[in-house]
Amino acid sequence: MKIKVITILLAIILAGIPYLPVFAEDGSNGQTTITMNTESVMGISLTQIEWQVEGEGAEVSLNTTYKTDLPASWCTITNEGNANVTMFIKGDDAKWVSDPSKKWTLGSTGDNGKNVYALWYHIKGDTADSYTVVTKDLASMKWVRDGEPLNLAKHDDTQQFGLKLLTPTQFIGGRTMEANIILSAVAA
Amino acid sequence: MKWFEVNLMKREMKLGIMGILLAGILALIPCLPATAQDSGTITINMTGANEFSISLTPANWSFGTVTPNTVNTTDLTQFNLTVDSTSTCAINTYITGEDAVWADDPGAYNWTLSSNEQNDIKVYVLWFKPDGGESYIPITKGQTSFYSGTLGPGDSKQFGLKLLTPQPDFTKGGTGYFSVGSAIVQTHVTISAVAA
Repeated sequence: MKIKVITILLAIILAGIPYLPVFAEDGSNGQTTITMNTESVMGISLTQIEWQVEGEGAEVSLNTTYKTDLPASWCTITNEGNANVTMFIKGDDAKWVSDPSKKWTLGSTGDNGKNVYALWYHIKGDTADSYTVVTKDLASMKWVRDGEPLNLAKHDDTQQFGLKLLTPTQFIGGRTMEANIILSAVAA
Repeated sequence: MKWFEVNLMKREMKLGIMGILLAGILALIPCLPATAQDSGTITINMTGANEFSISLTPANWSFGTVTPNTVNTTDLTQFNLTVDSTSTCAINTYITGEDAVWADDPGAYNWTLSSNEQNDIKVYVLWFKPDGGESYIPITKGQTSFYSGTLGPGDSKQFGLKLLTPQPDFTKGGTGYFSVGSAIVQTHVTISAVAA
């Protein structure tokens, strides 16, 4: 009985094969990519404009290292524009405010000496306790961890850093020395 | 085994063989040549598939530099939708848009495509208008009918786009800007088709 039912079903299926309609149906898409360019404006702001380096008695000592009170986040740089910018930094000799011809030279290697001082920066989030020397040449601020430049890609992006200073091995005391550090944003 | 049991088995086998023969005959019915008559008719039935394809040109279009909260339009003949001439059926078409993203870092900055024809901070609006059409029709992330009728093989439709950029992310010196400058913000417009 089973054999009969199966064979009849098989017969019906085989007989129907030539009449099967082709129901396959396809879909199709067309796509266009639309692009828009945005205008650029540059601008940065710094939360610190002055560092009063003080040791005991509001004065600094010979051959001594000083760090900003927040070693990694003392100063915040904010992208006030919208351009993707790379940060550059440049230091300068420290000059006696009463007679700018009397100065401490900013060293270029991180070594101090007679009337030679050294300056470094540390970027928040960089390798622990890693510092990069600041010289009188404008140089790109870079992460020690990977050597990549410090970027602020878009509006309101921020980065933080701190400073470290090593006083000269010899200097004349009682003089107030002043140095300027310039941070510049350059379009990446 | 008794004789009647043998007979029963033989009968079952005969029925099975007849069933298989019947299946073979039924299967061969459409293929039997007309040998017994002077002439014969063979009826062939086939249903063609609904196959179609469309193309949208150009594949890329730039509005150039745009500023916040401004309307930008293309010519009404800027874009062209064509139904491939080898298509086998009429089609219905639908248009959709997407959020626009910063090409350099899509996860960091984007504009949402408006669903109500209103722009906002980081929200933009997109419309299309068929050549000869009366008004602009909003494009959203959901499907909107592109053409009210059906399109057949070889048909084409031209259309233009209108873009309203988002409101500024910030203002500097009295001028509004987006958060990313000298940046490329990118989106896609897709037209899809289904058999009518």
